[in-house]
Amino acid sequence: MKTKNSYNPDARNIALLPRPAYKEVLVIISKSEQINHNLLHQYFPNATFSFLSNRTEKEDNSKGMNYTLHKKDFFFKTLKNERLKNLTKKTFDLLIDLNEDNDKLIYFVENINAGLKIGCFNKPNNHLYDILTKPSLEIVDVVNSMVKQLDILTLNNKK
Amino acid sequence: MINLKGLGVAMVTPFNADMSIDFESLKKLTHYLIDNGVHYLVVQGTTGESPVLSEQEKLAVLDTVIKENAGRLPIVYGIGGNNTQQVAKQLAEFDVPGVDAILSVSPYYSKPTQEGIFQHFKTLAANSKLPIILYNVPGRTSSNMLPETTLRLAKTCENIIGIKEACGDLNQVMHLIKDKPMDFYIISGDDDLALPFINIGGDGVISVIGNGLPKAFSNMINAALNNDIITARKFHYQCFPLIYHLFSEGNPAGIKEVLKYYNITETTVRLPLMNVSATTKGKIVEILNNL
Repeated sequence: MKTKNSYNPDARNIALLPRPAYKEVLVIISKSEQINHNLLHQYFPNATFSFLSNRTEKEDNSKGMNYTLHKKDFFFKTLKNERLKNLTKKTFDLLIDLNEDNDKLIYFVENINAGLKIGCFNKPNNHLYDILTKPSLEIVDVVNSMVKQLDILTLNNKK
Repeated sequence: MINLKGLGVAMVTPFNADMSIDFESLKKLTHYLIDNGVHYLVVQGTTGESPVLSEQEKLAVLDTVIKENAGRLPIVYGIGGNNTQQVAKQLAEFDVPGVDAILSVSPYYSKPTQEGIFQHFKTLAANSKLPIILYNVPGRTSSNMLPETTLRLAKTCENIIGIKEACGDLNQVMHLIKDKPMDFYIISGDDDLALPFINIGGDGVISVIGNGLPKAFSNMINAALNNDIITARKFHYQCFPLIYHLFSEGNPAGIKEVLKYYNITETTVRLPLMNVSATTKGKIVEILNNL
């Protein structure tokens, strides 16, 4: 049985900021081709984006701000891929999890230090997220909904 | 950390015939509960008619109970509402020595989403100096806080330490108990379900009937927590017939009839509550005569 606060996000400094203030944003998504870059840049105009998605080939050829995960990057529950290990050491202002099906990607939601973590309902480990939104078939709808919630909470927090 | 295992009593607020607070009866009630095996006191829950008391009156009631209690039992105080910012402000400013935890009802009337409920309590937790006990009572709030939301709060907010669960659905309670963090309290908010609630792993009850029958009800709770099912069942069925009548014409009108029977308080309630009908009163008295 889990002890209360085995995971404690209160230990983090949760940063609810106006959207233009987010500078470093990590987007986790099942497949990289699902990303709508224009939409993200429109909502977070001053952000530099990093992306983490799945890959099918065993070798990791990802570069720059793009990171990819293969199931063999884990040996049991230990991460072996050096590039991904370095990713977990980075700090982000915002983590957006749009991934729908790969449970291995949850490792990064838990282990990456981000000021704010946003995800969708109907996932295990709901407690890892600061804000949850309704899942939808369209990624665009999910992003729109997340941004709407983020704005409401930021305004309330300011008040 | 406050121990919430056992019987907590949601105390009524006694009134004089002129509707002012009857502090002498309140003192009598406090001693009656402490002397008869109650484990902690809950002041200004809805059973204390908190919606019809001014802030000043609520604090006067709390002050009286704290003084009479003299540190013997833990005290839980009710602060809740459906205006997140206002409740958060109240919590941030609340600083009364002698109070061990806050009981806060899930936002009512507005029918928020589960995410809305989560963010509401997260805001309260961030503003409260004291531990918070959530209160889910869909029958009164018109929105059910689902186990996923409760568990998310339990796992993310250090000072949210338990829930008073009055959803009336033991299946929902089992989902909570199955996945809850070890030191998160699951407390029944329904007197009639307190025994089955403990049998499936709950920690006790925040009770209304405990105002009138603290001895019998604490005996039942103690026996249930000690896995003495025969004794627990005996006391459960002793109290059970009374419970229906306590709530049939609005709480705390029913329990105030019981307290009148035992000469502890008068039956006066403030509008919109009314005293129970002669028929209900007759049934309550008949049950008490046969206890």
